[in-house]
Amino acid sequence: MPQDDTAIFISPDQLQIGLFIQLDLHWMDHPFPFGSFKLKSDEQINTLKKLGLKQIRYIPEKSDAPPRPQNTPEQLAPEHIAPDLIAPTPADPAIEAELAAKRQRQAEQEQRKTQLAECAKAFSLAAGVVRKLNKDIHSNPREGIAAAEQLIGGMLDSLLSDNDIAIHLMNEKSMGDDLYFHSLNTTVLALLLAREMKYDRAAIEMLGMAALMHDIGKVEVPDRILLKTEPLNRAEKSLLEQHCHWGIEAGKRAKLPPEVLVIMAQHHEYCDGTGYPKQHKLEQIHPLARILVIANTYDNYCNKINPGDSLTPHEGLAMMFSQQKAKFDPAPMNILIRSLGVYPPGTLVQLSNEHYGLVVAVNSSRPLKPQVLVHDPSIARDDAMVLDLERHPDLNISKALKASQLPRPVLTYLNPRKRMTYYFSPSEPLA
Amino acid sequence: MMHPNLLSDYCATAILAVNPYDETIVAANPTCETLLGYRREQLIGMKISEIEVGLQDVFFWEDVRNSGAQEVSQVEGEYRHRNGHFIYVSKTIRLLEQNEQTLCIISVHDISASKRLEEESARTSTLLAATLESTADGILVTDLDGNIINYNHRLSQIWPWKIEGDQTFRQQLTEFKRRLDDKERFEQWINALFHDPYISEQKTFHLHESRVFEINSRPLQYRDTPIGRLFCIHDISALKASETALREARDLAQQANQAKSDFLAHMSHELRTPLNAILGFAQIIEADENNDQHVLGSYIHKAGQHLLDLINEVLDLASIEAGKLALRLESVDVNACIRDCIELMQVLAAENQIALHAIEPASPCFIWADARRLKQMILNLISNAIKYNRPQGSVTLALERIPNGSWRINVQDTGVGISESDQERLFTAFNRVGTAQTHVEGTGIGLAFTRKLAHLMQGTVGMSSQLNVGSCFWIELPAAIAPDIRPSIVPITQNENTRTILYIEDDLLSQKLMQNILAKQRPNYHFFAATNGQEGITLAQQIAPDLILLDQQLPDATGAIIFEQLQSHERTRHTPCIALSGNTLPEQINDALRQGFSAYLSKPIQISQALLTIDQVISQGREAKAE
Repeated sequence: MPQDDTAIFISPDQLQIGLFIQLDLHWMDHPFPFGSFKLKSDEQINTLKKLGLKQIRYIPEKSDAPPRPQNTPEQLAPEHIAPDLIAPTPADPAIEAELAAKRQRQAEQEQRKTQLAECAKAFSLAAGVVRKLNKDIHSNPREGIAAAEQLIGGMLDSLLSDNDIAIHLMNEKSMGDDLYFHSLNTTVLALLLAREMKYDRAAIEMLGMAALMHDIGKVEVPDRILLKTEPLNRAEKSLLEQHCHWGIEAGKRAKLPPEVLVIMAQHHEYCDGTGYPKQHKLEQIHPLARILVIANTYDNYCNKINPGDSLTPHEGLAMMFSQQKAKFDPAPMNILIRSLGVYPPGTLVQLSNEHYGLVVAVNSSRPLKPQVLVHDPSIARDDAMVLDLERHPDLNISKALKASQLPRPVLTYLNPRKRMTYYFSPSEPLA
Repeated sequence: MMHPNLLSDYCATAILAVNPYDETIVAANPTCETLLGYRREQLIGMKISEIEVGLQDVFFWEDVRNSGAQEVSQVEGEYRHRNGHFIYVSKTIRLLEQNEQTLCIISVHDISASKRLEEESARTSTLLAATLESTADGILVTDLDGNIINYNHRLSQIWPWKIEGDQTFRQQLTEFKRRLDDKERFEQWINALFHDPYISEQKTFHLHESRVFEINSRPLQYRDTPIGRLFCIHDISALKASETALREARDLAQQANQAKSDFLAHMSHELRTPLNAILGFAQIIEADENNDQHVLGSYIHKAGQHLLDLINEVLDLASIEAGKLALRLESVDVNACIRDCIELMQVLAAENQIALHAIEPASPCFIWADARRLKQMILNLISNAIKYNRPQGSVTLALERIPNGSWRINVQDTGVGISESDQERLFTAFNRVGTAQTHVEGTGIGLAFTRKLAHLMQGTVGMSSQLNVGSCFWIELPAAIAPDIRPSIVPITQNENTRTILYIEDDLLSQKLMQNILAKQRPNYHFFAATNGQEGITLAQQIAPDLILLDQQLPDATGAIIFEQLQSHERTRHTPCIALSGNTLPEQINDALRQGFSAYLSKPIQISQALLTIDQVISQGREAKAE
């Protein structure tokens, strides 16, 4: 990390717990997650010794303990170290295994990038269909609905045929299309949840159509209310709530099936009866509508009109999970968390060693231990390391952060998405 | 030895011990009571999931269930108070092995307040970021060592910026310095800035490809202490480029203007010199009553005079446009001026069968104008009024005092009138309106020139017209008080004695003309001629003439240089000189008179005027010598 601290070289014999050391090796040439860290276990010291280094740099300011006295008390000054003296000779099988795992994760990250590019194409096509659907719903409802059915059919083909689905964060370019992205986002999340809950294809198709159409009534709401960033007053709020009603009217004209209309009508109903328009309770809400409510609420939290007001994916989930628990059906809620993780992909986090990172992949069996792309200025951004927290019991995520809480250079390095827009692609399983 | 329990009893951090196997609380320190609202006895035996309700907390315990107990550091989570509200906490869990059993020791502290602050600062920094991004300047913030703390997107657009890897300002400068014209000055400046954290300065740096940056650096201060540096980089390349373009355009325009002046002076001389001969000889032929051809001479004279007028008009307009026309403003008697003009135009009026007269006011009135130019303007209007009149029509001049104190000279005709659309184009040079009247000669310059002259005299020119009734053109000029009575001109003593005149002139026709005039009109003057300056000076030394006529553009030197040489010789030092030139620009005339020429005659010369001047100068020269 910082190069400017006074550094002193010691021999491996002098290592002991509490020393803060810095390795002058490429990240791929040593088995540790970081190139500089405080020694915490004898195991680490043993691994270090096995690396075959003659000298190790240590930083007194950050260390809790002094180095052990050397057998030969003479200390070498840095300029006396020839580069070939610190060339590593790892031969230990445990070290080799860890290095292989590191390489594996880098390869996976590359694979993710490739998948993302392909996924972006599918996403942009889908976004086009949704945009057209919103524009034409009044002039040409039949054709719009036919296009929507085709879109959902195509999504379901890939969703239901493949066992493994990768959820990707999209980097959408066009702004001002937030409404369309919201519809698409909600649809993608709702379809994923329904798939995990093992609904049959016909049911999922109905849910998909309702999700795509759920905010169609907002076409009637003036932009000054839709785009308002301050809290709405009572009159504005009741006008906004009319969009459920207007949506049903539009759906009827487009001759949507009655069950789809029921699901659409209930997309703001909460299980504790605090929703609208009918203040239904859990049992009165259609089971598929309960999924739609969760997907809709989550996306609304994460993608506000003013990005500064948006919650992070983690904040959104945490808020729905703990403080608003009573509002949501626990079964789909739990599945949402399983699918997205406690720290969903795209979440900016701070690790317990104070490094910043960006969650790139989740492991549904260990939701607290995702894979994190870590900010380390000594590694070029294109080769940024991905840590699998499951392999590092001593590291944990301390907290999730908003983009604005990060220093600018770190933000540039991690390059998070401005909006959380998801899409999926059928994928080879990621280890 | 202190009892170990005392430590946790008096610790301000809430400490809970949880059995990871059944997830119940087995111990709690007193601080837990304040944090959670439960008494310690109530807490013991409670499921930890009743207290820890945050998303990550719930999944932590699930993880413990699946993968065994583990330690975590500084994790944020949510706790539920007994009264139901949520508390944001930060917790650390350590594992304790006791009696072959593992216990999770949780240290918790309330971070609700700092969470709120965090939220607030997140909002502030969002606002700050939006502000930073909305400026057109590149902004960079570093700490005192030059490590980059913040920058806006604009910076990476205007600066050769490498985002990856190098994170200090100095490292980022390598590429920038490569493009700088003056690397050393920049380097010294940066060194000075990071040497003295209080410096606040702005400097401009030129880069290759004519890019220019204005860089402003100020200390970044916290509580009056500098903690870093702020750089504001303003790309002024476009500004500088347009500045340079403007300067070049200005220089070009000045050059063009100079060329125009030179051309004017040159043309003036070149056009008038041949006319000098034509007009001069025509006058001589005309004056010779005994010659049958004298009528033809008068035709040549008239046509030549017309050509001269045209040339004068063109050159006058051109000199106004080149800003070269100088006026001599004085108090002018308008009535006298109008009278002169009417007299001059009576012939033309009679030829066209037009009645021309003026209504004279009772008292004399004076205006502020250049008398010669005023006459020119009035003549122009009268000439138009005659030319564009109907047969047996009339032209009436009248004076009128208008409310702003100026005098208005009205020239009313009885022509066909001018349509409104034509009126708009009337005062534009070379625009002759009324296609039906192409038979009338003229350049279309007159009105444009008149209007420009009036403007130069702080006046205006205008018109009103009624179709088929007639038009009235008018000139308004500011009123003036009556001038002082001028001293009367010294009477010329006609000299009968023999006098010697030397004429230095390269144009042989001009020489011949002068010789001819003098032979006929002043037989007592002896005439000598020289065709260039050197010859003239030599000749002057030999004959010591009473008067030298000196052309201003000789093949070997200008008149000014020859005059200077004449002045330096003993014999010619006091010989009066008259300058002759086709150049009629006032500055040229003034220069010559200031230099010491006794008079200035413009070509083509008017014979009577020329003789008068010559007589005058010779008699004055005699007086000067006599004194």
